[in-house]
Amino acid sequence: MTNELIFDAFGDIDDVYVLEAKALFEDKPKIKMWKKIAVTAACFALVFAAALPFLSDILSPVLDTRHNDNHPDLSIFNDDSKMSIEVSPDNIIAVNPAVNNPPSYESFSHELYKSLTESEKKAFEENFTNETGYILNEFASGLSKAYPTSTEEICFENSDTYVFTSELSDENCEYANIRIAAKKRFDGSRFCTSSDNFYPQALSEPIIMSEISGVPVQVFHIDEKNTVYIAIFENDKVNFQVEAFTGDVSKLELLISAILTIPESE
Amino acid sequence: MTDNEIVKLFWDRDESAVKTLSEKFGAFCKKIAYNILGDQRDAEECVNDTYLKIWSSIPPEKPNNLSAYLGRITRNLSLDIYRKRTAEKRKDGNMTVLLDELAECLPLYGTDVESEIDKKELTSAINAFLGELPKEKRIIFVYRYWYSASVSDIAAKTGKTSGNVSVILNRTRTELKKHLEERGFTV
Repeated sequence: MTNELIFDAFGDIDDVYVLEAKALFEDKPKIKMWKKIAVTAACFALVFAAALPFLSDILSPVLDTRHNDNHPDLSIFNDDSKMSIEVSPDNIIAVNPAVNNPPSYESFSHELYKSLTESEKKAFEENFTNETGYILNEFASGLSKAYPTSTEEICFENSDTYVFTSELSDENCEYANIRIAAKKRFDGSRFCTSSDNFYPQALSEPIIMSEISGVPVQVFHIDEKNTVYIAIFENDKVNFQVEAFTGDVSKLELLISAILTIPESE
Repeated sequence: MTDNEIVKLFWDRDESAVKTLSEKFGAFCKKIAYNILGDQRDAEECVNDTYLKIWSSIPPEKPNNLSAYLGRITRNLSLDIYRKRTAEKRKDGNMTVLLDELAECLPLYGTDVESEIDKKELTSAINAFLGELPKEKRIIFVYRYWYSASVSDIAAKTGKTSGNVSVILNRTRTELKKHLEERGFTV
């Protein structure tokens, strides 16, 4: 049977790919971000409640930083603001557990940064922030404030591609993935370096070309049932790609409008 | 014990090799088998067959990567059992869906000329396709079609929604089909 033929052929793929996926195979299920936040917040609350009588005289803001130069994983817990940042070479997650649903990113690039020592700031900048990172964080911050979303995470996918992804769901869209990429614009490609951010389907003629908040926007269908749309647009700093699952394209336009009118933080 | 040391045990025909292999990779093999067969007893039987096959194949084989080698044998044996069960009309839902999904990628689906396809060439084309995929997509795709994981399992492991995973898989299958068509795997 043909279906078994391709399944058989797939079985002989390179070991490299098999081993690459093995890590996922052995992973435990990821806990959703809001659950992590809730658990983290609950742990903080418990620890603080238990320690309060003993620590009242030393309750100045606590900053615990760990950094490994060989493996630039870095965890910073600023107990004063309840800010939590976890960074690995592949991911950066910045959330404020104190402001849940949606989590707030508003003080990420300011208060936390100010609280670092000079050497920590250097490590911070070298390992996971730079100008691009700041821009994306500002947008992430603005998005969660300007649009009633369930923004979950900010990911810097690799050293070449800085992408903020956000999964939204509200009454307008079943859900939408927003990918905002900055800095890396290659010739002939509208979106950074990763083909993941450049859908071949979007090479067909756009079904809609319009201006939203003064910005040209192209909208493409990517499925036959016209329930998935991709919108591509850019401003002077970042490229946007919004993939939305909705039967009504006007709702996508509302979303784009909300994104484009996000006030940038200082 | 390292993988190389386990392989050496097999080469030395040391009977503790199977026990060591089982301790280190038993759960891994069983999960692969279970994903395909959907039945604990069949999965256990398949894993035992896998150990037997490993015992008879090492030596002369000396796999560079034991887990991939072991996983591949488990997968193939599971598929054999699945085929046998299908012949007995005991179709398993997950596996039937999975095979049908992959078949969409092959433009020949529904014809009788599949015998003309060289499996090695097909594998080579799939390898090339996987090499071009972004890492995240590739892992999800391989996890689905090599490890036979369910969509909900992938969603749980990656932190994505099931809908999102389905869309990624659907899109990747479409890309694979196009890739195969461009390389002459067509009627």
